[in-house]
Amino acid sequence: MLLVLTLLFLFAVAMGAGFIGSLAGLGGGIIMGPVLVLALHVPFPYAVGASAVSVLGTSMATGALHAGGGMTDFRIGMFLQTATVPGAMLGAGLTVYLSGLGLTSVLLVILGLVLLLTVPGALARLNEELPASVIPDRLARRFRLRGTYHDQRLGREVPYEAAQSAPALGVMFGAGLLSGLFGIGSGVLNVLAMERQMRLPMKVATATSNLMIGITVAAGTGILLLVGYISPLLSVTVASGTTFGALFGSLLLPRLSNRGVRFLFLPVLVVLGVELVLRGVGL
Amino acid sequence: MAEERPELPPQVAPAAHIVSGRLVQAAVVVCTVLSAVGIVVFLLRQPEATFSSILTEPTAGPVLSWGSFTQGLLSGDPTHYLLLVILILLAVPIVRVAVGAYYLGKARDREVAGMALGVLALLLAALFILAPLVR
Repeated sequence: MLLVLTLLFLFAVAMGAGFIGSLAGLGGGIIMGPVLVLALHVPFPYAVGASAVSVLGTSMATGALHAGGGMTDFRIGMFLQTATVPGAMLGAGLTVYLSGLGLTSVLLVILGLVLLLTVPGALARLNEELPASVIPDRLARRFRLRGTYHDQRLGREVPYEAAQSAPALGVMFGAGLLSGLFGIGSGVLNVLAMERQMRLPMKVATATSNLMIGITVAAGTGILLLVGYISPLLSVTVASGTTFGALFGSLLLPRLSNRGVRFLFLPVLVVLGVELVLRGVGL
Repeated sequence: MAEERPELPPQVAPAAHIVSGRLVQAAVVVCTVLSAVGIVVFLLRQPEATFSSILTEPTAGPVLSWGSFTQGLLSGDPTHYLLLVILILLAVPIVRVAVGAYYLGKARDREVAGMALGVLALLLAALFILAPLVR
């Protein structure tokens, strides 16, 4: 009975994680991982495994609701994935070895700091609806990293073009590494790189990130599965929750403003970041 | 004076999004049904299971041998059905990249088709070469 209640609790939390994650392009693993470790004391590698599978659920759900493509830019997504996937492969391999060395506390502190580091950037852009004065770089022009999308809230077609794509590739490698290490979809860095560095509209960044997180996490999940860090019952329960949450989130995304999305997610980032750092240092 | 914008690149054909979207929708339905059945049957068959005992269910063995995996499915073992859900979830992004690469190639957008194929190759290498090596 206790197991049933625990699974129901996890399903409910995962729904919330999938909902928020799909709105912000963050997958939900960044919420589920800490909840599993902090609230349920799941050993870190198993929490990573369940988070990774939950991110796959979020990515799948968002893809299902945008059968026509929506705001997802496949072209930019593939360009960035060439850096993210190798990072994820390296990160997943490192998880196995670092856990064996008993470095879980270090991993917790790093994850907490990663969360907190995203806060100032998000605060600085709280009132920005669309990026202005974007100057495309050489790589962006070479690979024609530009497009348009229909903004339901603004009621018009919005053209966009990428800037600083070379440094963005470096950030994406780091994003992949984090994804492999922590089972998170690297969505935070995906969105930051696309929105802040490449100067893409927030909604294009989150929608494209939702595609990318699934691809990135898949690269590392195979390793976690074969090593035995993915508990089928735990992972599928969590993934079912994030899938349903993400379905609802994807329905809502086109109607929300960027400000609303950031306002929703900021407190979650701060609380979890602080908690993870404190836990990692043993307080 | 209106700002002159560069010509837009050929985006992935709408057909690619529709085909991939329909496949993903089917995956959502199949995963939902299999997950619900798998979880309920697991809990009914293993009433003594605890939260810590479910963490260490073996996963590598069943997945590495397709023969025993199929046998597990045919025998109605809920763990195998839950593993099938995980394998479908893993397959979805791979299929999305493959479909995108196919339609980009068809549209002669060689650069991005090449990138998509590169990503696909890395994904397959991670799953079928790197994963068994790390294990």
